[in-house]
Amino acid sequence: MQGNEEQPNLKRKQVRDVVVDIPLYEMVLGYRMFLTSLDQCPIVRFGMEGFDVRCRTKMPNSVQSKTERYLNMEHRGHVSMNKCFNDLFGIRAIMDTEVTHAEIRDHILGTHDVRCTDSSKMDPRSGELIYIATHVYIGKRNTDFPWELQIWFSKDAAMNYASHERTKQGYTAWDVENGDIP
Amino acid sequence: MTYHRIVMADGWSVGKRIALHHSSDDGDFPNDDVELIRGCFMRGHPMIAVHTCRTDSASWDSVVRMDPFFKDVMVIDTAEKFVEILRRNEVPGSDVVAQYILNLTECDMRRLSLLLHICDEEYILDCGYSLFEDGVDIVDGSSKFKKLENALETGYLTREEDGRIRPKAGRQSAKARIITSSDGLNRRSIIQKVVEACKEMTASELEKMIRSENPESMVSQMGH
Repeated sequence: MQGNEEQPNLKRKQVRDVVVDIPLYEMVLGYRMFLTSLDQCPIVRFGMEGFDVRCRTKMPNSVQSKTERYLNMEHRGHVSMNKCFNDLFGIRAIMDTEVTHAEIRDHILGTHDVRCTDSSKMDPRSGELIYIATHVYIGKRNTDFPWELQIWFSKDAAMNYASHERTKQGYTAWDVENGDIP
Repeated sequence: MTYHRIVMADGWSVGKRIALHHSSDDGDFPNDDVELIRGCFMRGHPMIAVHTCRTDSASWDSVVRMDPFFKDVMVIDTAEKFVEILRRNEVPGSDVVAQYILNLTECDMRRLSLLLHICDEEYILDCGYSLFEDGVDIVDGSSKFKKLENALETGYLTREEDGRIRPKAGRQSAKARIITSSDGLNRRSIIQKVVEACKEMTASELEKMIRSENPESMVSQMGH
């Protein structure tokens, strides 16, 4: 979040711009670095029995990996920066509940001025759901990097972790690949 | 429940992601370690990330059980040791820059050495520091890259029968290692500019340009 007048409009700036505009990418990395100074405990303390909350700042290698992914997509990085760099700070809430994701989204959209999406994913081959979650993006101004709140249900956690692990393999697997570097 | 604060980073030199792990019953963590790590890096950003979570015990294993993201992470005992490993990320070796160059253009050893030399010269011209941890030393057309030589010996880079040097298949990390080094974006930008400017030039043409003794930027001379 934390926008100011000097910050560029992240809706107008595109992901491909960070490849040629070093100060722009520096700003992304600098903001990410600023986030590491935040005390995350007040957020994690919201957790209770049946409602787990955790936080993280995004790994720099993961920022790079996501940027590359956007540049290699069909749109070749012609996408607003705030769509790509929307999870530099992330909160995950995993809860035991009887309500549905649709009800949660209706409630959030009815009470808060945020973007809230069904971020569930299907396996393109089998058509089966492999990730079930609601994602909320906090921070509406175009000069702000959004923060991401992921809402999971406990019953889906194992499946969601497996899905995350597959997605993130590209940048966490380097340690295994490069273990033999002199 | 126990609170955990985990400071994460890429430990390129130890071949693993590294973590500095603290646990606390009340969720109060002294910020000394994070400040020590941040304060140690005057040029560029220390490339750390911070995670906070809760599990049913104070052990690292409970964190790994909670989230497989932390599997295979090397836990480091002290902030001082953590900083020591991070410091090794600050300047890439010639092997890493070579791998990145080879992803952009085909080279035999001679052409690769010359491109490394030009990249180094351009970077020194830009900021006064060598691009590499194992700086380039060209004497009578021969070059010395200790890390590059090691990389060829260990198979990190391979030499084909026709003399071309190839990075090991599937490796994506060179670019990330450069970008996450100190002044990393500038390092990457200069390497890219050199390769772009020199991509059609043979080794002999590169050598001739290096020996022209013009103190100006070689890339600028070519109109880039």
